Amino acid sequence: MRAWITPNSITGAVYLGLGLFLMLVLIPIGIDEPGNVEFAVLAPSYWPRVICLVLAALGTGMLVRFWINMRSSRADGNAGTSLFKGLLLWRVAIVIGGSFVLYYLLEPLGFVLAGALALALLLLFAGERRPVYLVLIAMGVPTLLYLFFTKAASIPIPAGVLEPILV
Amino acid sequence: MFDTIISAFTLFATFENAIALFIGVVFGVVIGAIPGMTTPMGVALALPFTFTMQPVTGILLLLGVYKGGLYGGSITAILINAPGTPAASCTGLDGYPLAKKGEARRALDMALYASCTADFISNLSLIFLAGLLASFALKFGPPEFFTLIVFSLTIIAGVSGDDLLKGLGSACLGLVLATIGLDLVYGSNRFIFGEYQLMSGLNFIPVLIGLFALPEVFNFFASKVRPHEVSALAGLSASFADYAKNLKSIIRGSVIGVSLGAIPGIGGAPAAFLSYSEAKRTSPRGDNFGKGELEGVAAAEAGNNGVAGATLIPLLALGVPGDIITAIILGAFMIHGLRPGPLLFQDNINLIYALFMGIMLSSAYLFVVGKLSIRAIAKIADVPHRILFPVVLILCVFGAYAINNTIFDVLVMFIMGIVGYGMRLLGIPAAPFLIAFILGPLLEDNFRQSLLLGKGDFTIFVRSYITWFFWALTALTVGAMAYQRIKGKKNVLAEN
Repeated sequence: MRAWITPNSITGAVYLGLGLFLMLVLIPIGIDEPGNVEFAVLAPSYWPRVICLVLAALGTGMLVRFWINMRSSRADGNAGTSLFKGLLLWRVAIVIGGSFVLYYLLEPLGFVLAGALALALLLLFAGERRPVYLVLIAMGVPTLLYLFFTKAASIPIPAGVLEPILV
Repeated sequence: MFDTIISAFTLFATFENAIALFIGVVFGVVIGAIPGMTTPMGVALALPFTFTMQPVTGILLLLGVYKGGLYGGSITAILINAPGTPAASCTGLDGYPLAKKGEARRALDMALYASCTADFISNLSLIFLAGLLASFALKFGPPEFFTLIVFSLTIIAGVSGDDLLKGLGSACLGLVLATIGLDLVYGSNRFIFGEYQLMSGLNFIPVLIGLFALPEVFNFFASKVRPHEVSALAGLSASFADYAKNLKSIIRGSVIGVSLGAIPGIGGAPAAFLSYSEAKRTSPRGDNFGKGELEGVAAAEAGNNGVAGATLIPLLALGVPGDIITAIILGAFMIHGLRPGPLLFQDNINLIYALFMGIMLSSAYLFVVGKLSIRAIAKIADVPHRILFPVVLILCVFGAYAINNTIFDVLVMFIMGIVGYGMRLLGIPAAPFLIAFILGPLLEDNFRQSLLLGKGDFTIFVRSYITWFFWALTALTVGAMAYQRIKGKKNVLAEN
């Protein structure tokens, strides 16, 4: 990994980039400015603009500090360290991807069935191999949570395809 | 006077009151401990059950839920880093690292002791200082609130870790996220992009869960090495020596909680963060805060629970509810034909005294229920991680949905989980983000309301002695933190 790719340099670049993107793109298109603003400081975009300006300034500050440290050959705290050392990011990508699949299945399948399927797969992925535990936990936890929220707390939770049985 | 106390005792000392209060505390602890179930939700759920009860019994039930909920929120914050309430997220800053070290029980014990002590002090303040503090609270307008929130935000410097710039940037991200929704002054859209569910802004519970609980789940799956599959509870409780060592922070946190709780609209989160910040600033173990320091748990919980009795001060003395929960309790008073305020003290003083007696008993109940619940709920810490983390993810999904019955909140939670994990990889602290996200709307609303009052003139922020007081405190705190950082760097250079 190149020496300039460190958590600090990336964070500085993210702060600067995000601050500028928000200020120049998202605020103009995402905030409706009324025509009758009496004082500029009361405009709906005033507060977000100030924050984004500060964010961009902080990002610039971090990059300048990083550059000075590089020039003077001083360690930047995290310089040269790998961002992802000791991490299996492909596993995280699978869990995140699976989470979004779960999100899209929650309403059509219902929280209990979608939750049970997701939990069984997650348990297997995490290393649980005992079939009794897998089945009991995967079926029991979503069912208990469903019963608690719907019956005890009176919060309706979508039952999906299991509606005829659960409701 | 003596007759009134006897009459109040007769009104209070019934089996129904004792049971209702106990059930309320148990229910509150359970509700607070479940991510997605909030204390206001618990109080609201209990409200219909009070309709047929005697006024004192019904109100004591609700007060029990309130007090139990405040403590319960800290349980999951400590055990699985999924705070049940915004204020409890401050408890998790040190509570969760302690749990990871196998000291969950010690952290839970300390949270309970601090909660009960702060609750007791808060109750005493309610009884003795109601009139005085209520009159002080009435002097707070938007500029005073603004300066108070600015002072509360100084904690960001304290929880930024080694890199202040990273921490401040994290806070800016939280402030930006807090601006999503309808603008309160002009009613115009901000970052809504046609998604009507964003009009009321992002709900803080999915953001909290996403930012704190999900990165832990992702990190579990990403780790090549799993050092301890079972996080042993180790059977270690917090000792009396632990309690005595942290008593100063607990009392200071209680006083902060009482002072902020008496001001309508502030709530437990700023009190918890401010108490934590002060403890970190003054503690000889300040450097250990955020890494698993028991004093951090004690200070956060004291600030959080110190608010409980004090929020009843403006409610009972002036009829002004300080937050959502006291607004629901105000509703309960009205359902029973009572109107809190000066007239209630005149016409129903025995009822007020009976409530005071019940409130004192609730502190004892909280201790008993808390102790019992620690034994039961802390078993979670003994569950193998390969089972615990998948279950936590599913619990988070149910919890995020249950807040508003909307699937959108589940999506928000997942997105915040990715953001939180990215921040973790880059070493960006999540605590400043969270503090800014919670305090951001209060800060902006009071900033703009002040300028509206002052017709755009910034001198409104120095209009009263209260604003000067908070500016001075802010300057002193920032100065002290800067001095400590410079001193710390000099020490490091000297050692090298």
